[in-house]
Amino acid sequence: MIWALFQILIFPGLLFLSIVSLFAEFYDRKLYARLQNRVGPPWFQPLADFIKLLGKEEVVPEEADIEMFKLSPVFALAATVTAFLYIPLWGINAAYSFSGDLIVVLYLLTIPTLTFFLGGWYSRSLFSAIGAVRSITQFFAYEIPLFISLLAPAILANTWSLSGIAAFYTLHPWYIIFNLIGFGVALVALLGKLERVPFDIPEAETEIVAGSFTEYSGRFLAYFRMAIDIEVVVGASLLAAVFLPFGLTLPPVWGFILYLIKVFAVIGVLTLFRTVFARLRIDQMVEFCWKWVAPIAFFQVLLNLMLKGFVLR
Amino acid sequence: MRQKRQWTEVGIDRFFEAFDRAVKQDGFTMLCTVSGLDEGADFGLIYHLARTDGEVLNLKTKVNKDRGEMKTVTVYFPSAQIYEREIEDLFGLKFTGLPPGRRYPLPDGWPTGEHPLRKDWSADRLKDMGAIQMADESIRLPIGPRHEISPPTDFSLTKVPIGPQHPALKEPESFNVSLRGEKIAGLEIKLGYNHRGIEKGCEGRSFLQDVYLVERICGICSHTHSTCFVQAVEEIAGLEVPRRALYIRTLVGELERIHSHLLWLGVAGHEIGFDTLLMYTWRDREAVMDLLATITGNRVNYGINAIGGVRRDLTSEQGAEVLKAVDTLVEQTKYYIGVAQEETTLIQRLSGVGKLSKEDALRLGAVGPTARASGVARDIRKDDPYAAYGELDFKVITDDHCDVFGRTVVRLGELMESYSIIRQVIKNLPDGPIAVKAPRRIPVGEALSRYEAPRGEDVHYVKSNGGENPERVKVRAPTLANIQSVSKMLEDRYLADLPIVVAAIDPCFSCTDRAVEIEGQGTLSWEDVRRYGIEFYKKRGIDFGAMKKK
Repeated sequence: MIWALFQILIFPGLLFLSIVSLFAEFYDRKLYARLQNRVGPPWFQPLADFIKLLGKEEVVPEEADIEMFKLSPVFALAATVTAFLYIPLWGINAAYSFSGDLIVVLYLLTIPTLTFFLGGWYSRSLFSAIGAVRSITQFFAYEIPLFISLLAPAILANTWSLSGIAAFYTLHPWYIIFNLIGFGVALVALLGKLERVPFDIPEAETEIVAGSFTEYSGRFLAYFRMAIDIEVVVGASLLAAVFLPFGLTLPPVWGFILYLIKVFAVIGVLTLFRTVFARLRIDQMVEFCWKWVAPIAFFQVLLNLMLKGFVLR
Repeated sequence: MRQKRQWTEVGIDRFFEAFDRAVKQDGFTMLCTVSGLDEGADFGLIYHLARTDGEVLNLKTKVNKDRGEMKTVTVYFPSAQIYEREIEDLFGLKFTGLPPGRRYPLPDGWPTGEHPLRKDWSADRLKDMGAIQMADESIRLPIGPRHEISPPTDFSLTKVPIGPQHPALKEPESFNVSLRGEKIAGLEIKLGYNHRGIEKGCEGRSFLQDVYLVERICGICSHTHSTCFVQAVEEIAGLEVPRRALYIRTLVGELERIHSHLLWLGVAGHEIGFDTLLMYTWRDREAVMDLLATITGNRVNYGINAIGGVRRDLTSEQGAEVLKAVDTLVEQTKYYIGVAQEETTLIQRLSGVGKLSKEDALRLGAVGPTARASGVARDIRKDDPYAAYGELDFKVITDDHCDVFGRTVVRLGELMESYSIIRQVIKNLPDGPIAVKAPRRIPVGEALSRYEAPRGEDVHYVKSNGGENPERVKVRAPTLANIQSVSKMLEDRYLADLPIVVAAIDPCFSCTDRAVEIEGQGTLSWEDVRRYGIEFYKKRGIDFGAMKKK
């Protein structure tokens, strides 16, 4: 019981995850700044921002649905932290695992997007409402490719458990190569999930202020931002666990370092995308996802099915 | 008097005949602006009509104040409506036949019957009325739709207020967008938030002081306005400006164009979420700002112009420094041209967006890069050369994409031309004095001065009555000519395109709104401002005190 609580709240749960996330935000901002020829923030800036926001006044719009408005950020935070517990990090086994946890993790990761929608919608502000609708529109564009691309390696491994996938690829390390297309698709879909340039349409500053988060302030905004930071790390960890499952049998310290390298490499790629692209329009984004990303993801599934059926029997 | 200027006065009864002939037979197909004048018993009106060869016809007429009415010329030039509305507000001359629309440029709560540019008006009148009364609903003028797309009455539409305060806008102005889903179904533009009464202010100051006042119309194109103004004054006074001064003015003007275009490129990048471009271009722009600071002593309001010449000479070391910086900028600009041609998401967001056909550009009177990107080869530097441009070799960059991408291409091309102009200026800089002495009193006369600002044609009309202060200063900034094509560009586009389409005309609302000084309210203490704010909202049925208790 105490061990379980320790795992959930401290390591590798909430506290550890928060620290890694804040550092990931710093890493993202610093890298982004350096790529843009700027100096960038000092290392404690994300933490300072978080603490500052916690201390700020919270303004809840009079028209807003107060319960939904206040609960949305908490739900977002809880869902992302829970998802993290099922992902194998620096060993073959995750903190918790059962057959089918891959699906659960994917569903838990859709909850933040839903809370962005609900939080924005129940703010009852124009900009929030438009942002909320855009969030959900975008969700339908990237979610399917993301699911499909993450299911493909599972098909090859013949298991729906993330720990099972890790175990399978540790036994057959070279099979990782077959999933590279899926990795690319998942990276693009993750950009959509995390609402980052070129897919930061739901919070396009120059059109709709801050989208869903326009009316949020103080504590609730801090929770939302923390949830997004954590989502970045969880998303990167998930991709690392599914597509880069090597070195999982290393001794703990080395394994831990390797895990951090993988996660920060994924985040680095996301940051690079953020630097070199302009924001697309919602219609262009949906078109791109269904015309290109989804078919490629399906191709990956087909490839893995054929490999499994004919080659790797 | 300057070449390429005709001044004709006709009586009101024969005015439309003359106007029709000028437009249809003599080929004066551009309306620069309409200047209003208060001439005692009459309102003076001057229609500044331009031809593509640079010839300007200043067609004058008089309307008796008792009559107080004039027919609009919007049938010839749709763009005239905003100029006529301006006269309606500032002089109180009514224009009949105008399409329904919102007043410009005074605020909605401005008291009826107060027309600040009339000679007998002073800001004291507002002081007597008191601020509270001004904000009273009962004296609000009726306001209505203003532009070509009328706001729909369909209630299934979402109305989104972009502005007056919004992250997409760098200056206060307001776009009320009606949305059907993500598509724009209607647009209402409201300007005038930056109205500072500079035209009235100019009348109360000497010519010399005005050089510095008009320079403060805009922070980006400050040299534009001061040059345009001194050119007009020099023309009236008949001053022969030394060639060296003209070259230095040209140099500063081109440096200003470079910093403005680089700034624009960054802003355009930011509007479409491409902040990296913003950071890169603004870093390079810093080199130009440093050059301007070295040459003139200031980064923004250069203060280099004086009536009769310039105030500071250019040393040969400064010339060498300019050339060195230009070399780096050429390399950087080539890189940006590459980015604009290759970066997929950038092209996706820019091409096909904000279409303005050549016919529409001509009809709506677009100027500057906005017009040139629609294939209209108009450039005041070429058509009606001023300063040293007549002696320099450069191309007018045009493009036939007719969209935001085309406007980007034109501005990037113009940057390259500006570098070449600067090299020529430094190479051919003539020796001699940098200024001639200007008289304190400027002789009776009037002049129209045109200047190709980074955003397009800037027009100043100056009239002197022989005294130390000008009788009238009229400014028409390029944005006022371009803003009217924005509704056209946004027809049936997405909300996401609005920021970039508006940005693509490179709007400068401070320039546009310039001109009625409200000193009346005096300085309010913090407590007074607070009380005024509470009262203001209470009158509208919003009580913050009660809200807190709840």
